[in-house]
Amino acid sequence: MIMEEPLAAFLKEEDRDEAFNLVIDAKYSMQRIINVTNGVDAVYAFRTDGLYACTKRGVFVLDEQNYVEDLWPTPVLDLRGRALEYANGNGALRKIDNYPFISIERAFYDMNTQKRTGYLILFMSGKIIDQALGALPDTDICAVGLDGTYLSGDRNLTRVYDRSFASYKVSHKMYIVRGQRVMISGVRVKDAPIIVISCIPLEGKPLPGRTLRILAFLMAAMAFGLFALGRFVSVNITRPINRLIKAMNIGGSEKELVPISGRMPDNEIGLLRDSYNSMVIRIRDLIQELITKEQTIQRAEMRVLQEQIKPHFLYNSIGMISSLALRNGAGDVSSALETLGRFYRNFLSKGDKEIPLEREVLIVRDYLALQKLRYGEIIRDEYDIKDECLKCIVPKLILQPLVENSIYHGIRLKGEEGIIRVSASIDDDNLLHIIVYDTGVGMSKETADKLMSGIKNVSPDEESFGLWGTIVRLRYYFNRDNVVKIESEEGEYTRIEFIVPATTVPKAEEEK
Amino acid sequence: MYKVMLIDDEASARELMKESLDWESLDMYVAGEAESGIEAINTIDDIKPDIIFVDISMPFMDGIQFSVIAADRYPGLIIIIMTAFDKFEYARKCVSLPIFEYMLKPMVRSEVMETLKKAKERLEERGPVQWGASETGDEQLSATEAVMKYIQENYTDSTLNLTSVAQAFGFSSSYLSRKFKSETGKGFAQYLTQVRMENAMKLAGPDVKMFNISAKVGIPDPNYFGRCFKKYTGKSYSEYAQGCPDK
Repeated sequence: MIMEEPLAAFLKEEDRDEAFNLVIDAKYSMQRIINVTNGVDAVYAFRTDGLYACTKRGVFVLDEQNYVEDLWPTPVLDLRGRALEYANGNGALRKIDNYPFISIERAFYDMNTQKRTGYLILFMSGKIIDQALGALPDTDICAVGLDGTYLSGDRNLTRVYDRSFASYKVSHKMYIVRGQRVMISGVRVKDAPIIVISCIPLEGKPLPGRTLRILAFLMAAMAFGLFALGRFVSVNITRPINRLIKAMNIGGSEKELVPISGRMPDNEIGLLRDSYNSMVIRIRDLIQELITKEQTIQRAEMRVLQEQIKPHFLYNSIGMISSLALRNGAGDVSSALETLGRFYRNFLSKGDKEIPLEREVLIVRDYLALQKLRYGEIIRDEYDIKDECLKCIVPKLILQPLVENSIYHGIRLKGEEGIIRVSASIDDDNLLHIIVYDTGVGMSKETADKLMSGIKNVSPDEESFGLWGTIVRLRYYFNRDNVVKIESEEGEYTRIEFIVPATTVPKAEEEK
Repeated sequence: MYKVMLIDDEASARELMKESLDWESLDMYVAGEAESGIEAINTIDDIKPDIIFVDISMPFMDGIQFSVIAADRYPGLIIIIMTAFDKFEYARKCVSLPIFEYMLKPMVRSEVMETLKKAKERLEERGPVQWGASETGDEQLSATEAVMKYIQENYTDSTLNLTSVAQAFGFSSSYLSRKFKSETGKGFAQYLTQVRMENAMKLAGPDVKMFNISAKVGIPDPNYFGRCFKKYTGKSYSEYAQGCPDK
């Protein structure tokens, strides 16, 4: 019962107003207990601040003063969660028809913090004791509470109640009733706040102890039944629900939603799991559908992009114009177109993102060859690529933006012939050094420092965007921060050095 | 001199190759061109090339389909496939084909020259393509009529040519070629075209589209069909079809 979530939530809630909102849920929770448990007439749940929720069958009158103002009797608190049973509510509660009942009280502790958060009282109808007594052949039997209040059986016998009966040992007393000698025997029921009293006329019938013991046994059985009921609720409802919640939490925290597979009882909780699972599957289907849709759109957009560059058309056109030029005796046009064609072929590189340095250098050569056609003798290009570097894999287009910068932000601004030198070598630490050197106007120290430092989120100006983007790509590709060294003297030169691990295995293959 | 055949549906691409390369320095010359794989099937037996350049993207029969047939019929023929990157992976998948080299378009002279040098080495090493050098000699061919009948029955097969028929009959192609010409007075290819054109003329009509007919008579490339038709009848197909009764 203490595992009932809404009830626990009601008791646990720290804010009194919030708790007030939870009363209804808690009541439903308690109603369920009444419905499934034979003999339970009322349930009261008190919060430490005095707010309480109750559900009952019949009319009970509660002495709120007793319960709320001094809070509950200390013995219960000392029991730390174990139940304390009273007959007839220990005076604090009474049923309007004055029918006897037994109350089971216990303090409620939060499962996680072990802080006391409330107090529960369960009222059992005295009728279940009637049923137990009715099963016995003797009629001169009575059940009373520890304080002698009447519970069930022969009411007259309460008058002969004696404190000494409140012992687990059977005690006897002699009385004269209507001139007859009778023996009154009493014993306390094990683990229950009930005393059974029997009256046996001494003439002829000397067997009260046995009957009493049977009765005590029956009562004990009943107390055990109550315990078993709690167990039953715990094993069959509370624990499976907790398992279910745990499984749902795990399922929800995975990268993708997964149906839960834990063993569940074959009842409503099993059904709950099944409907949760079908919901999960449905959600997954919907997500998959969305992803597929998104992918289709992306593919279509890619296709449009590809259509825009359509290399096949470009190449065929270059070939066609080249042949036209040749036919008209313009061999230099044909050569230039051939260079352009090869530049684009390498530039696009079948869409590869990483290429051998060899091909990267070829792109630069063709690019500079075409630029030299445009700007004449202002550019002189030199190459010093060591053989062992040729097959090293680098991200595509790391050099072309650099030489482009060399032309537009270096040499052309200077107005005199400039040199662009591209060199590459591998050092003893197996690091590849790629250097682009130009005798352009150079850059300020601030610009160089800004580019070299970790300017990850700095939005660069138009001028250095090519270099900035390349540095970011290299950092990302090789997963290291120190990939670039920039030296420059304003008016003299710029020297940009990339230092990256030398590898001949493309990342794309490595991942496979 | 080694013979080179260029197969590309782009006339300018063929022209560029032909004009921009110094063939003589390699002891080679361009012996023939074809606009499609279909045309190449029909003319290759006459051209007898040692090296062919074939573009991958061509209608009716692409470069791969053509190469499959050519590699099967002409062992020793050096096949160089030209492709833009979008078909490159497709081409690479045909690894079982004895393709000498895959070249990326646009073609670059220095690369072509490099490849041709290697091809020449291969030819020198293994000898040129045996265009029917192995004679079946003495065997009496009384089967010219059977070959003609075979053509009449199979002309709709667009891959039919001298070599495939010779192989079907177990002759060398040069033997079949000579024998056929001496006994019928016509070349094999001429006769095959004649059969196809006669059938096409029967099918022609004012409402019948050329490309429908061309596919039915074994020349699914309507451009090549058009040229054959004009050469054979002296009229273009549309001129001819106007004069036909309605079908």
